[in-house]
Amino acid sequence: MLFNSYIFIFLFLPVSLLGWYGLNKLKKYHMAQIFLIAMSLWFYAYFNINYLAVILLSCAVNYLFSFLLTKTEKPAFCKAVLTAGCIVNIGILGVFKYYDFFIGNLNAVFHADFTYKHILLPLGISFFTFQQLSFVIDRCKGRAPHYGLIDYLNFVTFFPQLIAGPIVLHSEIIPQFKDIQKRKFAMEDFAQGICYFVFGLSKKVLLADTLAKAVNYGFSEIAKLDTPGAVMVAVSFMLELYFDFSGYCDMAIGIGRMFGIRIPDNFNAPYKSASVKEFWKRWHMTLGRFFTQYVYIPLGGNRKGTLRTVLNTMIVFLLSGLWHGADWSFVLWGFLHGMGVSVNAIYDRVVKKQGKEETGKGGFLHRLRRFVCQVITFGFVCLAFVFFRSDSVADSLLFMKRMFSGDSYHFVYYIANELSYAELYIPTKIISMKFPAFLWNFHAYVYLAILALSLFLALGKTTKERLENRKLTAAFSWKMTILFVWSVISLTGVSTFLYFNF
Amino acid sequence: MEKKFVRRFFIQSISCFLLIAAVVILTDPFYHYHAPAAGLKAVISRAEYQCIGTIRNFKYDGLLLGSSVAENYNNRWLDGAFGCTTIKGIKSSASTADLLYYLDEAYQNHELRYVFYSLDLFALSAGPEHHFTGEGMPLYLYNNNILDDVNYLLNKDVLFESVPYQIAVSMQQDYDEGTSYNWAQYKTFSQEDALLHYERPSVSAAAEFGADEREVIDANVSLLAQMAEAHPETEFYFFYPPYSLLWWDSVDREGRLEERLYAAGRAAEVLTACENVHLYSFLAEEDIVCNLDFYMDSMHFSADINQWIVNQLNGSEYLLTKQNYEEELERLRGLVERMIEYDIPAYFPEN
Repeated sequence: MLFNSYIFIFLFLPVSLLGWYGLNKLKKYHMAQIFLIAMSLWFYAYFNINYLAVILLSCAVNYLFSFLLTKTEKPAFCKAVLTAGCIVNIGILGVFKYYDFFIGNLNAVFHADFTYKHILLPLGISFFTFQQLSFVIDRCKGRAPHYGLIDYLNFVTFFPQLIAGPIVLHSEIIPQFKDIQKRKFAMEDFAQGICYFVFGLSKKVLLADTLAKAVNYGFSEIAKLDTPGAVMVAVSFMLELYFDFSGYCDMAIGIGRMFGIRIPDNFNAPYKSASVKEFWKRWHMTLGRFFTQYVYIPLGGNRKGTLRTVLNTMIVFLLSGLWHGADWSFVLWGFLHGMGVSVNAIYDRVVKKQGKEETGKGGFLHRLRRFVCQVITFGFVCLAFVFFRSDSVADSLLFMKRMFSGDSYHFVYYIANELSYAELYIPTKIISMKFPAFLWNFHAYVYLAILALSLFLALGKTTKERLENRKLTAAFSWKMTILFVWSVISLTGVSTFLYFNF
Repeated sequence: MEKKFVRRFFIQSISCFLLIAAVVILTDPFYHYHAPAAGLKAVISRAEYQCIGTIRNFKYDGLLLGSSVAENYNNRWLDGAFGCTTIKGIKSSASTADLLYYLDEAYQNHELRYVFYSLDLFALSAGPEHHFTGEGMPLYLYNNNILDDVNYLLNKDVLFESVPYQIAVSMQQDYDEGTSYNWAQYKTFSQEDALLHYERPSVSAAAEFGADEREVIDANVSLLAQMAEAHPETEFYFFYPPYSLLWWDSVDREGRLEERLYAAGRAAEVLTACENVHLYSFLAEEDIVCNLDFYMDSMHFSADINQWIVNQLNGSEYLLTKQNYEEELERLRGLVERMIEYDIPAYFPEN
């Protein structure tokens, strides 16, 4: 089930909230948790009922590891459980997500003909696997207690964060579920939750989905792109991805608030970053936290010299690339970011060594320098995302070739023409009838306006900043209502069927 | 303050949703709930969205069924020729099961005097399941689940496009409601267009045409005959539309000639035996089939041909009967063979 669907907004969410608060009001605390688990499993199974077996199996195995650790705390046993936990979790991920990728590479390298399995990827498997892996590691290191089964299942299956994160830690979720005081309906949290949800929904439905049309068209016509067209498509994708993912996370945080559960932030205006390293402190923050805590630091982090720091960074980013998708284009994307972060790390070390740490913060030169760094980082991230979005490395390279071709034959007009906005149907019709020659320009201006608005929003305040200390006035309630209603009626559309594909 | 905000938010949102839903129900541009409201005309241009609603909710006693080649008939031509009120049941690339689904829906609450059925040969080779469950189809308009009507009632495109379009067109004095789904007005028909839109397939080995393929055709024909027999109160007018010689060329090159001719023969054999069925064939109308100026591609002809066909449905020149159908189909085979050998190569000298 998607957050941005009628069934979720009009049926699933109200029923879940009513059940949760109703049972808690009756002091049926365990029943409330079981109810929430059942609803979360329905949410998950709505995509494909077969997925249920995967998530339940994954929960069962990890809970068993945790249980085994209650029997003895001998280091050798903990180490064995840790090894088994890593193998099982990564193994599950490997089978479902990377099997075909692995086979494809084997076939390519050895000219073999191993058969692909085409396994349907269970939704959110990367998220709930990492979430549980972090728990098992913490258990083995003695940093986590053994929780009751219901608490554990609540932690893993809690539907707001189940299929696309944020990647929450047991230590920040389970204590909240155990806190009976949090089971009372809190109007302040609920109101905040609504605002987060509405912001997230509108980011996803009104911005990301609109930009996606331009992006999909651009990436389906890579060979025809000219330089301005390619730049616009690349920037559009960058913004689409941000509004899509951060919108989803806002919705998750908002729904969590409605249930009285705080879910951690996942984005903090990433496109304002002045370095790639800073970008990763602002983009998909819970993934960065996972890799830092469970991969980078155990590898030695930055404590073992420059070379080792670079190596550790590259390992983390190659893994991060692979985590995002089973294709070399994702690995390449991770590699580019690893390089970017490594360059930042080396630069920081050199500066530190030479004792040239920055002075005059807040001054004009400092601000100018930061601005230049922001522009460079923006460009780097934008280019790297081309690898993320392309279907293959070859497509990415072709895209780059077109972007730097220097050609200009107004392809932007074709991209803009592909976009359609029901909201502008009447003006579009009037222009097409009264001023047909202006129609293409009109489409282009609208596309540019949407891009400019998206950039302004992406570079402006975060949802958290917008909502902090916000007075919930009548005018603000109208703003939220309009955004909500506009988003809801945008959830579905009327397709144009290809009549001439008789 | 929070309580007030939450209350305001819910009251305002629910009010907006109710208002939007009311506008959609009242104007009902897909005719999901009712025939055109007072002051509005039947503005029909999206078969996938509007066809099922019009079939369920309009008043009519004649139903024209077919694929895209049937979209350019003007309902009023049939009304004039047969003294009935006709609407269309159209689906692009419609299979027999698709069109019979429409017919079933029509019979739910209508007494049909006439069914006009544009019988495509390729449709007789399609599977027996209808195709209204495909991805992207607006299933909420087809099923009887009132809950998923939310997809229609709270739909930006419906609100900002379909409703204003319906109102604007209704205000046009000269709008002809009989032209439902008509696309001919946006196309040009000429030999040049027909050849331009024809992607000539490469010659392939004859497609398998054995017992299984015959069984599918027989089953489809049988469904048509059963429908006719189940409704003796209805006069069924089936007719094979005239495909251009380019269509026959593609059929031949794809190795499906025998299959198509078998379908034509089998349908003729079974349907001519039904008392309330009139079967017409325009497949061998050489003046049309061999003149590409009537076409925009290999099979879609101009509205003039649609009108001409309607004019023939009251006569007997193109009527197939138990006595003549074999002879007529032999004539068709002869024409197709001649076109393949002489007429078609003239258009493709390089091959």
